Amino acid sequence: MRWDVVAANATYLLEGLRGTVALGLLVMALGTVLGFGVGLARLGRGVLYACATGFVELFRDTPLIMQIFFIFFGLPALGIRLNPFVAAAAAMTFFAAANTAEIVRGAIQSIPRGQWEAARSLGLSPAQSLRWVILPQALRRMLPPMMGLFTTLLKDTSLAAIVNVFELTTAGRRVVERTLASFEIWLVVAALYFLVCYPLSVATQRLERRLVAETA
Amino acid sequence: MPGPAQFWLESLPALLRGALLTLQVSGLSIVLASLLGVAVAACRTAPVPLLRWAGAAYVEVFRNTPLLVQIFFVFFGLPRLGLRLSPFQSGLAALSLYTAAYNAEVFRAGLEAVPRGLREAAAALGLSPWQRFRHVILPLAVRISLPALGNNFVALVKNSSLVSTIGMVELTFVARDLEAWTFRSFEVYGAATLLYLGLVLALAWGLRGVEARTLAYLRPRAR
Amino acid sequence: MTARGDPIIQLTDVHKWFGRLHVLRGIDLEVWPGEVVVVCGPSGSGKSTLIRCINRLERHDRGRIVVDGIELTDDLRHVDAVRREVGMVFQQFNLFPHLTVLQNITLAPTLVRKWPRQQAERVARELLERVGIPEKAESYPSQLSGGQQQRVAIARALAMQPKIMLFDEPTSALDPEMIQEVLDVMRDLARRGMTMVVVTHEMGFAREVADRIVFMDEGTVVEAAPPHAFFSNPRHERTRAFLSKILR
Repeated sequence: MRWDVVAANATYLLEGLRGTVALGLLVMALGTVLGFGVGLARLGRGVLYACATGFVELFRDTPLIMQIFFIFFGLPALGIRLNPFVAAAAAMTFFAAANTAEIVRGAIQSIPRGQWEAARSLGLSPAQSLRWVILPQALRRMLPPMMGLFTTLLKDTSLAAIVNVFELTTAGRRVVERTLASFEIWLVVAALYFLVCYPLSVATQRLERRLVAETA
Repeated sequence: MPGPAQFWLESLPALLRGALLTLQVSGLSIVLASLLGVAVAACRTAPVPLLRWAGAAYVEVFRNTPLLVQIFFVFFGLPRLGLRLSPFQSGLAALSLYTAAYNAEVFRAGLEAVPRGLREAAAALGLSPWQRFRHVILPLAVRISLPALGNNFVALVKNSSLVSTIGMVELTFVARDLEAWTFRSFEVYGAATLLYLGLVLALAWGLRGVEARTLAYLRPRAR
Repeated sequence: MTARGDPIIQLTDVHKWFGRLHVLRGIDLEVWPGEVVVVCGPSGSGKSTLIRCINRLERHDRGRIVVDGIELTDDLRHVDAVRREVGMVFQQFNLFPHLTVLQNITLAPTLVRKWPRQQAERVARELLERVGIPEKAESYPSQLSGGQQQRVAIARALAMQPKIMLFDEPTSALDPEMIQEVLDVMRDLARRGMTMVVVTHEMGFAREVADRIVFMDEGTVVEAAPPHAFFSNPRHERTRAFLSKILR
């Protein structure tokens, strides 16, 4: 074993980790905003509903890697040329948004019908009912699955390595290519991901338990 | 240059061969990941603290690191320990290990969701602990787990695309290969995306059928 | 106590289908201002659907419903206008679990009536006083007993100063010892002249408070009569059968 290789490349790998976190945060922020819009559109009817449903199905039912390829290699055929970072971030944002949309829709639909009925029978408009009665309750239910999605997104930023965006997996691959210390480096790379994702997972589980305890 | 329709027709056999391999590795992984998942879930709910801890560690490690890194670790890292696996074997191993962690959590939740009263009723009827598990608790837990398990299987099919990165000639690999030769990226990835969509929707449809049959007891009889 | 004038609620030949199930089969009903109408009948008779049509939680498929001079149509402005004048109390309370008791009561007045917060809170506290739980203003619904929750729900509906109150089996989800405290509040409300339509199985309450009892079965109004006539001399066989089951 050659653990000295790890020590020698520690700074480089940590830079990669920073890239991972930055990409992850960007995708979470953009995906959440877009996903909320799509999720609300899924509650409606007509063209908006159809478009939102198509978007959700397309990005949830196909592999993220295909979406990245499509945007990075495929869109240039239509004259849209994106650099690897933008392409990967865009694909992941759509992926995040599609999953967020389902969380938003699920949470809103999980609020009992009686809540809508009570709000509407008090004279609140549909928008007021959503804003003051339904969403505040739904947001709490969204929180654990959203945090779970964030963990997934953080892990999935590793796919950006396939189009050579600089983040942790790319950093790992470059070090391995240079040093051939594949076992050590991939182990350390996995450990670094774990270090970031595990606390998020634990926090998610805690929150979930607390919410369950509160509603019981 | 041939038109899109002709191009699709010509590349379809290759893409279908790729899809078949995707189906194979996914199908095998579903079986392995389910068996391993039940075992890990059993560990996680076992009365022995060491087993519980080992089960939890397994789940956390595999769920909190990227599958891509796990694949690289198995394919590139393990040979340095003298364990050399083919791309197919590496992919199968990584996919199964990864999905098993998720399945284990689903099964555990299913086991915990079996109402206490049913366990007590089974015990009161004089069933042995194994009989209770085998005939009452497990069948119910599996049924409760089915919807979430289905989601894991769908994710597995999509995740199998990552095995292309270590040279397994499944659907994604074929698509990249075709694209590299023909530069017709839009058509190639479009076709591959549609094939994945078909696979996933077919799987989801099949799973709904299974659910409908096994969960029929939950629905009140139609009037 | 019977007030006359124009009816405040008027249903004319109202029909409602759920899929192929014909749940309301031509309902004609008039309710006058200040009147207390109790609707009773076996489960599945359509009584809940009937009052849910009055504030359009259910859409009727045929016939006319006019509430306080406004006809209920697909026009949402009419629906909103009616809902401002009609309060509703549900079997399952449907309090908003994320809001305190006070916030539950002030929500609609501040949003819909645009009252300033102080005014809404003052009215809310008066109403809590009236339903007997002023000390629970800052509590959350989950911290209250079922009877207390239902009293809050009544206060919440009253805060909108409705002309009509609808009660959909308000005591059916309550433990027996809590039923009286809710009925007391409703009795008080009736005494103050509120127009009320109440779906309930509480025949003691009906006998004492109702001006008229409407008996429904299989989607039709079988019989409507003042309590005395209804209980002592029911005209229809189906009413007699129902009463013999429920009064024992």
